Amino acid sequence: MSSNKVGDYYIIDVMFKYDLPSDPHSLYCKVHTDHSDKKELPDGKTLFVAGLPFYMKKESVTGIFNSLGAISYLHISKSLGGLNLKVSTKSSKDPYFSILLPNSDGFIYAYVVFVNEISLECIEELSRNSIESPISCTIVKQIGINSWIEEYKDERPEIEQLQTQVKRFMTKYDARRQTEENTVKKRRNIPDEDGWITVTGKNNKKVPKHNLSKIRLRKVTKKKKKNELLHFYKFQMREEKRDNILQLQKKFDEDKKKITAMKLQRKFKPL
Amino acid sequence: MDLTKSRPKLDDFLKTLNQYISSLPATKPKHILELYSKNNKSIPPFPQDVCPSMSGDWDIFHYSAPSSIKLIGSYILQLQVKPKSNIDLAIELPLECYTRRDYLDYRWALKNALYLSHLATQITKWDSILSVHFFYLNNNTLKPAIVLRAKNHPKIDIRLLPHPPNELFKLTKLLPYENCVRHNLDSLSSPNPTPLYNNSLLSTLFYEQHLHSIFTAMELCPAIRDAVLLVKEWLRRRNLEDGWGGFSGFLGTMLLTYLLSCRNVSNGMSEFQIFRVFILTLASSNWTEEPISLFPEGQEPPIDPGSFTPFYPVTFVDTSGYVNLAGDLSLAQYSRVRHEAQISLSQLDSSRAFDLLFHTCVPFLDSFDCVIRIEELHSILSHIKDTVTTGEVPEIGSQLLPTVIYRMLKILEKGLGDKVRIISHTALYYDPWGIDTHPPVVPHPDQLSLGFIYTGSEMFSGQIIGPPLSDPVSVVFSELWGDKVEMRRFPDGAVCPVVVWPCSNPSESRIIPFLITRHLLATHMGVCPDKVTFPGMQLDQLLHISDQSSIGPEIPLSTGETSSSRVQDLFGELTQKLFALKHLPLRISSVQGTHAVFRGCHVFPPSLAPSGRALLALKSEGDDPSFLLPNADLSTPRYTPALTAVLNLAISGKWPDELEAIWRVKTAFYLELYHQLKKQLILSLPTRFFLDVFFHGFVFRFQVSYFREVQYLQNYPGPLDLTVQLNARASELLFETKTLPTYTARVHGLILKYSSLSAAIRLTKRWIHSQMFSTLIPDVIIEMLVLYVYLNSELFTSPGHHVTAFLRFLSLLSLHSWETEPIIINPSNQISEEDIKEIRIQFPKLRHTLPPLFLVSPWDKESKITASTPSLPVLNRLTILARQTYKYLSSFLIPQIGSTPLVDIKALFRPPLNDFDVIIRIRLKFAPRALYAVDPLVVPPVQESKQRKVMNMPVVEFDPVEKFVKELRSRFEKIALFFVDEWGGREVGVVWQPSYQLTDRFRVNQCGGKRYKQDSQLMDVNLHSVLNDFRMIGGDMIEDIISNSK
Repeated sequence: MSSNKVGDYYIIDVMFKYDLPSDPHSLYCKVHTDHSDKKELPDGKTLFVAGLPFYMKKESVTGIFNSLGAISYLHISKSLGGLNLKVSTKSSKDPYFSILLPNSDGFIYAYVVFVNEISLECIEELSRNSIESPISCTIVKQIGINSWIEEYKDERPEIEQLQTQVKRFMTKYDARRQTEENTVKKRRNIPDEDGWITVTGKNNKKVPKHNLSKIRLRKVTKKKKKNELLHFYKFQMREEKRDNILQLQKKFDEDKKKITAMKLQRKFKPL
Repeated sequence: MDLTKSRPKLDDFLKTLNQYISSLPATKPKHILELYSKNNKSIPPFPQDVCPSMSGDWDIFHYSAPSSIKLIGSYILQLQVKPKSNIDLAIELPLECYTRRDYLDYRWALKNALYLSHLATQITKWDSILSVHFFYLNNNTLKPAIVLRAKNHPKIDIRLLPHPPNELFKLTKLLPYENCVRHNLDSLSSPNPTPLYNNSLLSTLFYEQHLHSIFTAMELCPAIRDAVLLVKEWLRRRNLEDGWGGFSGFLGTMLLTYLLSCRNVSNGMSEFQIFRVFILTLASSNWTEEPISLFPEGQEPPIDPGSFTPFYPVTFVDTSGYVNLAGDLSLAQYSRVRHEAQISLSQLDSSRAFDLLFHTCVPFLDSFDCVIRIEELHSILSHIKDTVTTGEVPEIGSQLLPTVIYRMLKILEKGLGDKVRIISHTALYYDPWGIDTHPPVVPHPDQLSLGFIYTGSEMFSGQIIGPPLSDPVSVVFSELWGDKVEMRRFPDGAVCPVVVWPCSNPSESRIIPFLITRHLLATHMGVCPDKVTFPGMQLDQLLHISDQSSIGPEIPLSTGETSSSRVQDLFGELTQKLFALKHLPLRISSVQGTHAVFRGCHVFPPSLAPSGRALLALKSEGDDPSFLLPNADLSTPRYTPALTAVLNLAISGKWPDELEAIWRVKTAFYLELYHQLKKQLILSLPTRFFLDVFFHGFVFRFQVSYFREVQYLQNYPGPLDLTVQLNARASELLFETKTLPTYTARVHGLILKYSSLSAAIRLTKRWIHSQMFSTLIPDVIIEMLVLYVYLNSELFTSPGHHVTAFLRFLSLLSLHSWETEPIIINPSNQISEEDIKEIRIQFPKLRHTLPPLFLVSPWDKESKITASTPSLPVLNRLTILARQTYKYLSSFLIPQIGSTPLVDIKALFRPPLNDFDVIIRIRLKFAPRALYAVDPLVVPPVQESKQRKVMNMPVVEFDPVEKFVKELRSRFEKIALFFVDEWGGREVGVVWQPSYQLTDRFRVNQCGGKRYKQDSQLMDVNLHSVLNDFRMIGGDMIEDIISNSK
C-alpha cells in the first residue's frame, strides 16, 4: 500500500487561509462506483471526495481538481446519503421554511465528474504531490460574522416587499381555494356515468390525523440508521459484536466495583 | 463506633492506666501560690482572669492518689456513636485535698486544676501514652479535664474528669439562689446568686448517679439503647451537640430516661416509637418556663424545679434534685433544637423519614436565612467584663461567654421582634491545649456567627413604630433604639417614636435584620459596627451591573427586582394599547409574556436601550421607520434582548388550512398591527415570523399563536428529513405558545409569594452561566430546580434570603442522586397523590429510557424539557462544581478551621479555564454583553450618526459570541463540546469528544478533522486543521486560541 492511500481512498492535502504546510487538511477521494446506474454520476468518470470542510464551495473544489482535466459536473452534498440529487422541492424555495435550520455538518462530500476517464488515472500523482506540498485553496464563501449579519438582514425584509409577497400568495391561495370549491360545487348535482350523485358535505376543516406523522417519523429513524452504513460488511458486524461483548464485560466489572464501593461507604453506621 | 473488637484490648489498657495513676506517689504539701506560680512543666488549667483570694486555711495542697477511678459515660454503656469515641474516666480526688468550705470562690476549681497539672506531668512520663492535653468539659471553663491518647489506640480519646468526693460539700449551699463567689464583693451590696457556678460544681459530683439512672433505664426498656443511638445520630446530623451551650448526647439520653420515668415511653415500645415520642416531647417542650425533673415522684425534692427558672435559661433537673442538667445549654441552642424537632416532627410520617432524619446533614448555614458574623469576640468579652453589673443574668465570675450571649440574644429578641422566628449561633469551642501552655481565654475561632430564620417570606417593612409618647413604655423603646429614634406625627394625631431603615427594594428589605443587629450591638454591647458583617450580602454584587462607579460592599446593591417590575409595567401599558386597537381583522383575546423577564427570572433585566429615552419613537405618521444593522467592522452595538410575548387571537373559522397560508396570514396580521401602531407613533417592525415593537426603549417581540399550527406542522406532506425538522419545530412551538405562557404566569405568582425567589433564581442562573453552561442547561430547568428548593424544603423553612436558597440549591445538586430519585415540582398540589405514587413506582423501571435529569412538573409531566439537555457529562460536571462551590461558599460565610478562607466571592463565579482542552478568546469589540461579565469590561460605545430625525429600531438579539458558539455546535458536535457564558463571557471552552479522540481505522463518515497516520495505519486526530476551521468561522472575532496541551 502506498503512503498516500488508505483503503480505496487517495489522500489529498490542501491548505486554507490559516493552515501551515505542516498541518494541512486532508481530503479523501475514491473512484466512484455506483451500481444503480445514475446518469449524472457515470462510473469511471466520477470521483467521490470526502472530508471537505463545510466552507468549500464549488469554485474551491474545482480549483483543486481541474488540474486533472476538465470537469463536466460537480455535486456537493451535505450528507453521505446525498446521492438522490433531486432535493429541490417547493419548500426549499419558500422563505418561511428558513425557520427550520438545516442539519449543517462541519464536513461535506463532493462528486466530481470529469469529461475524460484519463483524468482519474492522474489522481494518484496529484495525491502524492499534494502530500509533499499541500495545495493551497482560497475561499469565497461568506462565513462567520458576515454571514450572521446577512441572516439578520434577510430576516427583516422591506415592509412593502413583504406586503406584496403576502398579498400575492394569498390571492393565489384564495383563487385556488375558489376553483377547488367550484369544482366541488359543480360536481354536486351532476350524476356521473353510472348515474350516481356524489354527496359532499360542507367544506369542514379537517385537521389531519396525528398518528400518520408518527409512523413517518419511525420510518425516518430507521432510515437514518440505514444511511450510516455501519453494518455493511461482514467484518464490521463481527467487530461490532465483539466490541459489544467486550464493553458489556467491562461494564459488568465496573458495576461490581461500584457496588462493593457503595457497600463500603454506607452512610449510616452509628455503631 | 464498633469497639467490640478492640474492647478487650482497651479494657486491658484502662486497667493498667488505673494502676498507673493509683500508684503515683503522693507529694509534699505546699502552698497553693507556690504551686500555681512555680514554673512547672505543666501549667494548671485554670482561667487566668480569675484569681481566688489566697487567704485562710485552705491554701495548702498536695497530690495523693485518687480515691477512686471509675468508668462512666457512653463507653461503659455501649452507647457510642461514630465518629466520636470518648472513654470517660471519673477521677475522684481524695478527701484530704479539700476543706469543707472549698466550694467557695473557685477554690475547688483551682485545686482540681493543680491536681490535674500534677497528674498530667506524671502521665506524660508513661511511655505508652501518645499525647496529653487539657480541655474544658462541655466547654465550661470551670470544668477542666485531661484528654489523652494511647499509642496503641491513637484514635480514641480517653478523658480524665476530676471531681470532689460527693459527700464533701453541703449541697444546700449550692442551690441556684445561693452565692458562692464572695471574695470581691464589698460588704454593703447584697450577694448575687451564682447559679452557673453552683451548677458547674454540682454537676461534677453526680457522675456516677447519672450513669446509674441511665443504666437502670436501659435495664427496664432494652429498646432505649437503640433509641439513644438514633437520638445521638439525629443530633449529630444537625450539629446540635457541638461546642459551648450545645444539646449534648448525654442530655438527649437523660431526656429519654425522663420519658421512661414519666411513662411516656413504655417498656414494649420499639426504638423508632421511642424516638417519635422524644421528638414530640422536644417539639412541644418549653423548658424555659415549664422545667422538667427526673426527681422521683412521691418524695420531697430539695428544691422545687420551678425555682430554677429565674436563674437558668433552660431547666431540666436530675434525679438528685440539685443539678440542672441543662445548665450549660444556651437559650439559642435550645430554641434551635426545638425548631429542628418541630421540622422533624412534620417529616416523621413521610416515606423518606429515615433518610431525612438520620442520613441528611442539616448544616447551620442552610437552615438560616441570614447568617451574621461578629468578629473579635474577645473585645466584646472584655467590654462586658468592665460593664458587668447585676443584670438580666446573674454574674458568674469568669464565665463571661454565657453572659455575653444571653444578653445579646435578649437584646436582639427585643429589637427584631416578630421579624425573626429563631435566633441561634454557631458552636463555640475552647480547643484542647497542651499541658505546658496557658489555657485559652477566648473560644476558638474568635468570632461568632448568628443565624436568623425569618418569620414569613414577605418583604419586611422598613419602619418600626413605637408606642405613643404619652405611653410610659415609649421610654423603653427609645432606650432600646438609642440615636436611631425619630419622632413622627401620625394622621391620628399621635406622636410616636419611629425607627426607619432603608427599604426601597427587596434586597434592601432582606437585610433589615442585619442592620438592626449591627445597630443594637453597637448601642448596647459596644461592638464596633465594622466587626459585624453579613458576608452573604457580597453575593449581591453579582446581580448588579457595575455601570456606575464602584460602590463599597457595605451598601446594599440593587439586585434588579425593581427593573424587572418596571419592564413588566411597561409591557402592561403596551398590552393595553394593543387591546385598544380597532379595525383589526381579528380581536386580540389575550397577550401572554414568555420572556424570563416577565417572570422576574432574567439575570439582568434589560435596562433602557441606549438611544431609546424618547417616549415615542416616531415624530410623525409619515416617517419611514428603519432598523439598524450590525456592522462587522465596527464594534457590535449594545445587546438588546427581544422580550417575547404570545398574542392569542379570538377564535375564528376563517383560518386557512394549509401551513404556508397560515404563516402568511400571521405575517399579514403583523403588517396590519404595524400600520395601526404607526398611527399611534409607536415604532414597530414586522417580519415574516414576528413583530418587534420598540416601546420606551425596550423591544417587545410578539408572535401570534394559532393552536392548529402544531398539528399542521406535524402532518405536513414532504420528504422525510423535512418531516423530522417540522416535527421538532412543532414541539418547540407547543412549548413556546402553550407551556411557556402558563409557566411564566405561575412563576410570576410564586415570586410575589416568596420575596427572595426572584433574586435566588437569578443568582443561581448567574452561577450556572458563569460556569460556561449557557444553553447546555436551559434556563427554564434552572428556574425549576430553584423552585424545587423553595417548594420542597423538607428539613428547612422556605428560604428567606437568596443566599440561603443558593446554598440549598448547591447542596441539592451535589447530594441528589439523579439516578434513583425523580425531582417532582408540585406547587399547590396540582399533581395528584396517586400520580406522584405512580411516577415513583414507574421511575426505576423506566430509568434507562428517561433523561439523566428527570424533572416532573404540572406543566410538563413527562420531563420533555430535559429530554436532550442537560446531557449526562454536563450534569456530572455541574454536580462536581456545585460540590466545590458549596464548600468554598460555606467557608466564606462561616470561616472554618483549617480551610483557607476565600477572599474574593467572585472567585466562585470564575470558571476553571484549565479544564478545557482549548480556549477560544473573543475580541472585546465583538462581545456586546461584556459589561455583564463577572469582571466587567466596558465596551467602547458605538459611533452612531447624530443627524437622524427618526428613531431606528436598535439591533435586537445580536450577539456574535452566541452566534459563533451556535455555529460551532452545529458544525462540530461530533468532534467537540463547546462551553460559553452568555452573560459577558469572552472565552469559549472546547472539550474534545472522547469518540473523536480515538485513533481508529478509516471510516468515510468520520474522516473529517482526522489525519491518516502512516506508521499505525490508523486515523488520528488532526487538531490543527479543526482549530483552523474554528478560526475560519470566527475570523476577526478571535483574539487568541489557546490549547491546554496535556
